[in-house]
Amino acid sequence: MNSPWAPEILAILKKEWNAEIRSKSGILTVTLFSFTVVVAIAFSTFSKTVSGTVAAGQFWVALLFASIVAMPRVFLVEEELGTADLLRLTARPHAVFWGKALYNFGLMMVTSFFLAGLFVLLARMPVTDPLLLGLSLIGSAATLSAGVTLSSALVAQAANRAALAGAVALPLLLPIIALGVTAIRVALGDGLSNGGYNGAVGLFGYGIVSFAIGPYIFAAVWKN
Amino acid sequence: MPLGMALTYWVPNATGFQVPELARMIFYHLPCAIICSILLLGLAPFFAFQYLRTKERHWDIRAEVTMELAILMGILTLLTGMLFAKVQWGAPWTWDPRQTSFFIVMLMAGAYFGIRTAFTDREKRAGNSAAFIMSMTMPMLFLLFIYPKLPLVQTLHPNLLAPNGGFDPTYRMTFMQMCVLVGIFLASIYKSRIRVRQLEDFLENKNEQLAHSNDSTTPRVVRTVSVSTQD
Repeated sequence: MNSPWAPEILAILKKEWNAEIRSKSGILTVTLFSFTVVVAIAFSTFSKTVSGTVAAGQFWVALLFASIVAMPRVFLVEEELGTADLLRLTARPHAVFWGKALYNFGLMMVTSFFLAGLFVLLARMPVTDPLLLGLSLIGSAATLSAGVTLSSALVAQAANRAALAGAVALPLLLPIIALGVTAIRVALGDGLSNGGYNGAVGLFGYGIVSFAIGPYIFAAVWKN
Repeated sequence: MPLGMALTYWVPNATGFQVPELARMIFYHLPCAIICSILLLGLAPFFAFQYLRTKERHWDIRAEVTMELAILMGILTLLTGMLFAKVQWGAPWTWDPRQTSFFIVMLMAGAYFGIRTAFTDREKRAGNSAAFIMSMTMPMLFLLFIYPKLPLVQTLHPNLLAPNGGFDPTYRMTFMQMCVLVGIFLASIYKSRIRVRQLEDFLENKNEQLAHSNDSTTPRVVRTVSVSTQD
């Protein structure tokens, strides 16, 4: 097993992509969820304009729940269809984690930019620093994808996995909200620019550490 | 523990609080918080790591008992904190960043038991819950030690343990004694709980062995029986 990692990771990524293209389940779920959330926020706030910090908080809560809706299925579907055992035989744990986490990262990038677009257009969120918003969204996608991929792998073989996936992932992801809101509120015109960029750097750091540690924790349980 | 309680009444009333007599709650609240967040939630990842490394059952039992006690101490921390906040700050729950971050840590500990109850297979239960402890370590460290220091965060919690943070020598000494007493009390609970879990584990093993011995796939002993047809 001294073969290079890249082809194995790319094979997993391609498999996920093909499965998504065939069913379009992930992207449809996320699109519907994003529209519903933006409508729900506009409906519940009676279309009043809120401050940058509150808007950033609302956006992050929406992003967090969108990630819980969209991403755990990469492992849950494998167990439900009975293909997980085949995957265990054909690929190394690190490659499985990286392949699925990268797929989730892509899905989360699409989700976060789409949701941000909807917020800007429909909820009339004023963006004062688009670069910071973009960086924050990329950092958010990285941290959320690594966190949700790992937590969904942990519950994939449990009896009530669908319900448990959200209950387990949410407490692990809540701390990221602090960094995310710190960054995005500045992009929406609240607070100092320095603090916003520090928040974005924090998000990237958190994401990098999650991607670095995740495969090792995953490898410890995947072949059980 | 009665000795500890007596010690807290021996110190003079604290100054700078709305109800100085009840500021003694700090002698219960702070040791519970420190033992929970530093000792117990620090030991749990070590035990979980040891289980993942060796796959020996006793590490899983230790991790589980440590998390049980962390929940117990966490609940005590939250309750004593709420009582203190009600008396001194006017409301039991103010969404103070430290209160909130500690509560999120308790939610993580709750999710750990969610994972444990979701698996019937012992090996999977132990492995996945140990992996969960490892994955909650980074968010937990962030919440307990980094988040309260973020510039956006403003907490009502004073830093009492800083060199000039508010504790005078008498209070500092009493606080240390309470930490030791709560620690000893907790160690005795930990020891008893470990013993109970080991016995439960032993019984579970026995049950499994009995279940296997009644299994139809177990090889049976066949004896030859002589049948006489002469009557």
